[in-house]
Amino acid sequence: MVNRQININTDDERFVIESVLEGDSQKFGIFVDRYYKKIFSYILKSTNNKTDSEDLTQETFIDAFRNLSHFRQNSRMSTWLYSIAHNKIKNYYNRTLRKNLDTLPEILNNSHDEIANNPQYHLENAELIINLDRAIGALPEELRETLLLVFFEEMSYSDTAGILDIPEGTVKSRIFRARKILSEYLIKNELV
Amino acid sequence: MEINKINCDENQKLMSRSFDKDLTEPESDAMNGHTDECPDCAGILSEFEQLTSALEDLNVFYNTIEPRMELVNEIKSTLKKEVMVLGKIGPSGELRDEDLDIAAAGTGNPSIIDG
Repeated sequence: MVNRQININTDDERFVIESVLEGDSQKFGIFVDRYYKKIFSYILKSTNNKTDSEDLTQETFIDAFRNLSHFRQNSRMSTWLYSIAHNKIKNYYNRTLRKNLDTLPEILNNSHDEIANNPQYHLENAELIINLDRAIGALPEELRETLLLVFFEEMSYSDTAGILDIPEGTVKSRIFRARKILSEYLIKNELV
Repeated sequence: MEINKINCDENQKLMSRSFDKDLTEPESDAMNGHTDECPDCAGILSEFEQLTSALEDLNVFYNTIEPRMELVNEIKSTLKKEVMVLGKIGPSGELRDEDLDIAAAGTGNPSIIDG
């Protein structure tokens, strides 16, 4: 199947949402087409597990559809989807950690094997990426979740604050702390 | 040390924000002025640059991992079932009686989400 790239602005999104709420449920598929890869990629960086990320991506869209009437019209659909996905990730971690602490390192190592076996990366670069990913995984949760949105999803401080429901100043200070910890880690372990 | 009216801690916070393009012009000037004269902060800036480069590499790797092609259709199919079971969402979010009737009877033809 060819994925269609649908370009719609915020006004168009409002129109689509109104149409869905008025009964044209089919139009919600526009949001699925547009955002499923982004949401999958965001979740994957937290779970490091492709299958679980696909499941959580699906759950994110189902929740968004079910709760569309609660969507604040001054928000953007993407920001709202990230908020829902963020909660899914938190629940996932609570579930995974509670159910079986032993399997978590295994889950985290899956993507590292993929990096090490990928011919795109030479040994030194692969080592850097794997260790950096490991260091991100070891960050305190509040730093990691903030970093993922700002660094990888290229969210503004303002949007990140909205998604995490924290003040913008807190986003800035968390990002600063994450940068300091990670850069010191790279230096200390002679990875750069 | 204090250079250009900001100390190193304040400057390093500005440096972090500069990577996220969050600085005003006066803040940017203050940061550059301090960093030009402060070897410690220049070293931290270099570390932040190396970290940014490594994060970009990690991001490139993650972006090579895509979901299964079928995922988008599976999501739409699940949404379609959602509509059939729960009925359409009314303008104010309540389920509409006629849609619940349709779902209950299983003979209706509600709007479907389809690829």
